[in-house]
Amino acid sequence: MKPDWLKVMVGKLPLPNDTLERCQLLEFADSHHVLGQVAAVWAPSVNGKTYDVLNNGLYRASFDHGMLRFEMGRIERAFIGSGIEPILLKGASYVAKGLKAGEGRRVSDIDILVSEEDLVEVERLLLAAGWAFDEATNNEYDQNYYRTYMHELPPLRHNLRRTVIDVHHRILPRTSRVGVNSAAFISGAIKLPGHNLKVLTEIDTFLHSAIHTFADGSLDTPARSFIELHYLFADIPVAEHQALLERAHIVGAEMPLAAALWGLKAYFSNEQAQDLLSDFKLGVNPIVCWAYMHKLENVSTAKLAKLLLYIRSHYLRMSLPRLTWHILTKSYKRLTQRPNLPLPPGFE
Amino acid sequence: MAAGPFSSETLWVADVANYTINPHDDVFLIFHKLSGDTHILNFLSAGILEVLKNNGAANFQTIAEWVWAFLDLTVEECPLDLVEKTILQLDDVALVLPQNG
Amino acid sequence: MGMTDFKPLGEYDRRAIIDALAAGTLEMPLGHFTARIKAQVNTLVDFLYDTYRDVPVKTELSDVTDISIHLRAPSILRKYIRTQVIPDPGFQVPAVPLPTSMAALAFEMGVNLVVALKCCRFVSCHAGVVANEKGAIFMCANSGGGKSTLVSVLMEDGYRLLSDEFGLLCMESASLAAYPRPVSLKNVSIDIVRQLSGKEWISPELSGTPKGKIAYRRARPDDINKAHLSAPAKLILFPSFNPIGGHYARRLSVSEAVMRLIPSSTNYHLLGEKAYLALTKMVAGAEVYEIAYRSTDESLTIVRDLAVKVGL
Repeated sequence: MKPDWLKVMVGKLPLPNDTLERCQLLEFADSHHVLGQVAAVWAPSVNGKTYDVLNNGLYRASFDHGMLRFEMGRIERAFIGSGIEPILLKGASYVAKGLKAGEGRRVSDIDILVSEEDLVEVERLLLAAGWAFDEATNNEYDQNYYRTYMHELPPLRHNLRRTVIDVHHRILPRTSRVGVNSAAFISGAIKLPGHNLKVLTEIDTFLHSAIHTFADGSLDTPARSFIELHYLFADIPVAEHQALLERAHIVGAEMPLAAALWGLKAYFSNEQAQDLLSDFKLGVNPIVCWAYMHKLENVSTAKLAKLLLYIRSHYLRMSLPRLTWHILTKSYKRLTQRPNLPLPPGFE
Repeated sequence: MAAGPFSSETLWVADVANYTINPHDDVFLIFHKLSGDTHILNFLSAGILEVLKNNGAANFQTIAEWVWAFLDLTVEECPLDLVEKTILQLDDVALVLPQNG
Repeated sequence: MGMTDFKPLGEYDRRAIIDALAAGTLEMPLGHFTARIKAQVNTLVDFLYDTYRDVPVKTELSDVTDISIHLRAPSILRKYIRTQVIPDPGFQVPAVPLPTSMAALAFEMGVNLVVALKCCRFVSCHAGVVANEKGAIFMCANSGGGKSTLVSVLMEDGYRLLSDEFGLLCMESASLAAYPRPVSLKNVSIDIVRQLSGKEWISPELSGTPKGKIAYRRARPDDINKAHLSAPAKLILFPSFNPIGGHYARRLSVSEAVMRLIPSSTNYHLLGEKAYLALTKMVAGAEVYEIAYRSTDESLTIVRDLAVKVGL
């Protein structure tokens, strides 16, 4: 992927004129599951084959959105009379709220967040309504692992429809090194108009995306995550940027916020992100930046980047032996030899 | 199996806005827009949807009475629990819903 | 943007084709789709020159393409040692690596997979379709049903090839679009069709593939040149080759036909109500039969009789 492509995909730069490069960009978008989102930006202004290819992305997204609306109704049906209103997270919530980040977006599993007190009842109601623990993780080890260490139940798959719900009761795993205040997210959630469901506020939605991208996993969908952060950040008015910083502090999301702002500056030349970043005392780990950049841009060295992120995600999730330090130290040395890395302020 | 909590007092409605139903020979083909599913219904299921469409929300007992009248069946030919089971199957695929659902 | 015209692949200098494949700029129309092909495998070049010789292609991209196929080694090792290929359509797909001698099979499977998964402009069903000026015969595929043999046989009987692998139903008109690609033949049907059509139309055989022996009956220039013409279905068949049973033809009702076609479609759910309406319209405008036969000759007899019955 060329670094400029992310800007093209959100409409900040035009589509490449060169046919081969345009082909490659569209193919990249498709294989990274963002073709529909690129289409939401570009389909109205192109025609011919470019339109046909983009339209395929819109079809898929539209199908996903239909499925999502149906599943939301089924979830509400399952909870009738219980007084429980689960909080929609991630892609499902962007689509449900009609956000820009939801336009053309693929949605597969549905993520919901409930409080720990409600968890037993939620599980009971979902099982009664036709969901069952997915075979792949329905064994004693996985069930124990999820329930002891993780922030979510093992995935639930519906018997008839085969769709999947992930029930979260915390933002990050219990053992995470990044201490996020899940209760604050839950209590800050607001009602989704017209539904017996809730969603997070704009600020919390952005912070959750940043946490999920930078503190939860090994970034399997880097292009999609960065595009998402771009749109979600744009949903927060400048007047609320101070509130964003304060909320990050309250919920313990300062590190992911700094990383997200770095990403927005590096890949979208986002000046507001740049401004906010310089207000921060906390910098961004350069190794992490290098790893994300490589994951995103450079397929052949992505394996090392992926390994780093994989180790890091485990490092963030649970305690680890000195093995990690060895690799991280080596990478840091290589990192400081690279001339082109846009290091965050304080690291140049 | 139902798609959620219910009781004998639950009032059911047919989700008329979200499906198209066409008779073919002696069955009914139904396309459910909300789920994208296509179903074949027998005369009983189709009859339940028809009486709900015509008469509004009702509980199991009332729906059964409407169906017996509409299809000219006796309670022996079409027992109440058969009607209930059919309604719950329709609930499973969201062709009917509890009224405030 | 390339200013060259489309020209049959067989008329190109081999070097030009090899270079275009290496650069990933070989552009090939496949019915209503276009494909861009990238490969550095000699056996594929041979296959294209043999089986795609009449298909008009370009060596520079004139536009973005619907489909992209990259025939590559599954790993660095397999690029050089016990060389293998997989068709990489640009998205995660489980593909069994095949030896480079079977690049043709990898290519054909790859293209079919991409069309099955990505096509959103038509309702696509696993089916073989042939047509004359009056309408089309749509033969729903199932393994061992002998659909490809039947397609080849009907091609000799005055029908044009619309497609061997996918019936593509246009949602506005409910008529079938052409996607004329090589007909894939397996094991005994290779000899049957070779006898019938003449060996000059059949590609060299691939032995030892996961499906046994495979060869391809290439599309004729007439099939390729008429690819822009669609045809309404007049006869829809669910054929099965039944060597020990009897032969029969049983008429199906509209609802039964629709419910049997739905699982044969690769994108019915994706397309939603438009697909439902198109499918029901297609079925309502045709006669639908489940047929069984004991031999190729018998299948031809049954289909000819039904074709007469429906006015084809």
